[in-house]
Amino acid sequence: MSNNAIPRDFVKNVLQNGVGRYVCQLKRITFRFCKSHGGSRHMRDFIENNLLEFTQKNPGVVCYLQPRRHRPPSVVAEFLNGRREVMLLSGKEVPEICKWVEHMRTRSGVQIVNMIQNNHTETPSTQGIWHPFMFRDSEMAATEFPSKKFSQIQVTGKTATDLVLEEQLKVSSSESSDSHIEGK
Amino acid sequence: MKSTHLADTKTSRYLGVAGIEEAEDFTPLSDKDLQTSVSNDINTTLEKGEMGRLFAIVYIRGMQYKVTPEDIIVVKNDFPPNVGDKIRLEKVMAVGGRDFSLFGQPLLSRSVVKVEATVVEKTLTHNRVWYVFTRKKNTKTFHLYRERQTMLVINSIQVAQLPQEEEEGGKE
Repeated sequence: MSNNAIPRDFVKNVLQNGVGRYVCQLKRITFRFCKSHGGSRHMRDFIENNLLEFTQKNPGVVCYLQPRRHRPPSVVAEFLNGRREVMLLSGKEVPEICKWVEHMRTRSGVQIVNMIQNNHTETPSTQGIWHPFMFRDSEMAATEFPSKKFSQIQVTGKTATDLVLEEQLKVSSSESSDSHIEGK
Repeated sequence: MKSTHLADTKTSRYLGVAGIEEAEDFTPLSDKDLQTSVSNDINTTLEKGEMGRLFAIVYIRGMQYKVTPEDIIVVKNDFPPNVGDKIRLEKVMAVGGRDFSLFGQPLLSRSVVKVEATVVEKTLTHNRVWYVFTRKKNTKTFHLYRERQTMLVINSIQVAQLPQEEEEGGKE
């Protein structure tokens, strides 16, 4: 599959949640199950033992129970941004149902897609974004080209020519000193 | 022709500076009077409230994030704080404003910087593919996996007045 087919998006903070105070984004959660069928056994156990604790801990979330005859168990989560998600829970045992319900509670309701970056900022730079002329001498902007100063080659370190010239100097100096000794 | 030798050529080229040691900004603060004057300047900017929008580099679970207030960052894998928790990010490596930056060696003191954040969301990633194929060996594995993610919103970054006696290392 080509990479373009996979949806990607940036990290989002829905309605600037958490800047002032945190608001749980899960609005409504519906537990759908069958009263008689064996497939909904674990869901019925969950409703009997764990649901009351969940509702007491989260008074801001509305919980519905929807019995449906001879249908597999599922959970419908509705979020503040208007999105609705259905998750089939057939064959899932009680601890796993608890985990998925907790997953729905802690989500922001944004669709889960491939994330482009691990951070998001509205103000990318405080001290100014770097550009190639940031620490350069501004004299370059005011001069007329071609100029002799800026057309020179920037040489850093010793070139081969310099090394050869140095060697020549050394040889010549040693020769002269030798001749001086001989002359004595 | 005489050649000029500039110190630390490679670094200065990367930074766009010709001769990094010649630039005034990079003079090391070995002089004690200079140190105190710099910290005084920073303190006055903090007093006047001219520091602009502060930013900080925080260290979380082996990752470094550059943050300013109202940013959102994602922490990968297991992260204990739950949704709605207000936490203080204690490992702050650097903090800066409009015209000053403070760098820790490696961390800044708790008494100097305070970065606060709120846990906003705990989710799973989308399905990621882990596919291994070995040629001519009739072996291939195909796995789909999802990792845990935690979203943090940065609430505030606060810098206290710098102590005059011992400087943590700063430049202006």
